[in-house]
Amino acid sequence: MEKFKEFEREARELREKSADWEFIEKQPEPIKTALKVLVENGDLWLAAKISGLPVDEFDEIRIKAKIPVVV
Amino acid sequence: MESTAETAELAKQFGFTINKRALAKALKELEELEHEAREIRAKNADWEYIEKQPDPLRAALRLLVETGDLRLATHIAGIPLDELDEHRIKAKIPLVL
Amino acid sequence: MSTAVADTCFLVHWLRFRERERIFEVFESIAVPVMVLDEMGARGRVMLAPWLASRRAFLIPRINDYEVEALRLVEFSRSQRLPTLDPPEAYCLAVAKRRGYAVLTDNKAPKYLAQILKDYSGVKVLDSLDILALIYGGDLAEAVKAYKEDTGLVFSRTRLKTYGIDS
Repeated sequence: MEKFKEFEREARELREKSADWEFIEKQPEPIKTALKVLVENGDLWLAAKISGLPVDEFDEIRIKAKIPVVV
Repeated sequence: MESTAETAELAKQFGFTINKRALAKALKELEELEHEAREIRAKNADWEYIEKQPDPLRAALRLLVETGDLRLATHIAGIPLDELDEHRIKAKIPLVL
Repeated sequence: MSTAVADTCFLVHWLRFRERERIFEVFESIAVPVMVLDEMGARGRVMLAPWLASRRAFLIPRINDYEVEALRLVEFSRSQRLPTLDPPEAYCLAVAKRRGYAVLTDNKAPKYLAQILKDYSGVKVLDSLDILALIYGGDLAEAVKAYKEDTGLVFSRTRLKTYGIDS
């Protein structure tokens, strides 16, 4: 459990550091909020649902926003 | 109009069992509440705002005043429910619970 | 504390309320069917996002068993004098019955159906006024006033009287 928490912490830090915040802030809602949720918790499916976009379309935006998916 | 017995029979066909006393009470309550609610909606609505809206939004808002059915009005308007709710608030149409 | 499944016609109102977070004094978590999220536009999704992100709310997928039960409820409700049940409300009722959740909705149909159908008599169906009463108790009058300001919802005089409030 501790290992998992440590991994999650590192992953969140990496997402926060890598993200293009200028790009994120320029997005219309609810995409902007969805990207912020993705940076916070790394849940691509949930963030896509919030955005209202199909997962693959949202993933395109994720890439442009430079938010890595950490595995 | 269906009687309570008819409703109970119909429920059976769908595999449900009805509480007949609760049904009679519910119908009476509903009639009273709906009468009060319709009056409140019609009295408070900003008809000037409503009439200025393009169709189908205008039709949806009129329907909302008449029925209080937010979801049905949403289908008529063709916009998301929370967007219609914004218009409802601007049109000063209260929903009565 | 328990879980409640929320219909759109509760969420769009409650999420406007200035003290919306206090719902978690009553429920540990809020379940949101995916079809409910699908009814929301940008504003609703933005307001719901923090709850989903923090896992205080979670999404329920479409499950065939629940959809079949929901259809049964919708068909029955159309055939008699009570208000007609909409599919998302019916789905919420079906989920609630199976999972032991409460239902949150500001529509009348689910409440009345739960009262009249013996199979659903164990399902608690609560609307905004019920939740406000659970949270605020003796301070309900002020809360009702604030809720009305934030949401444009009005509570019937008859119901308010049962809570000792003269409107």
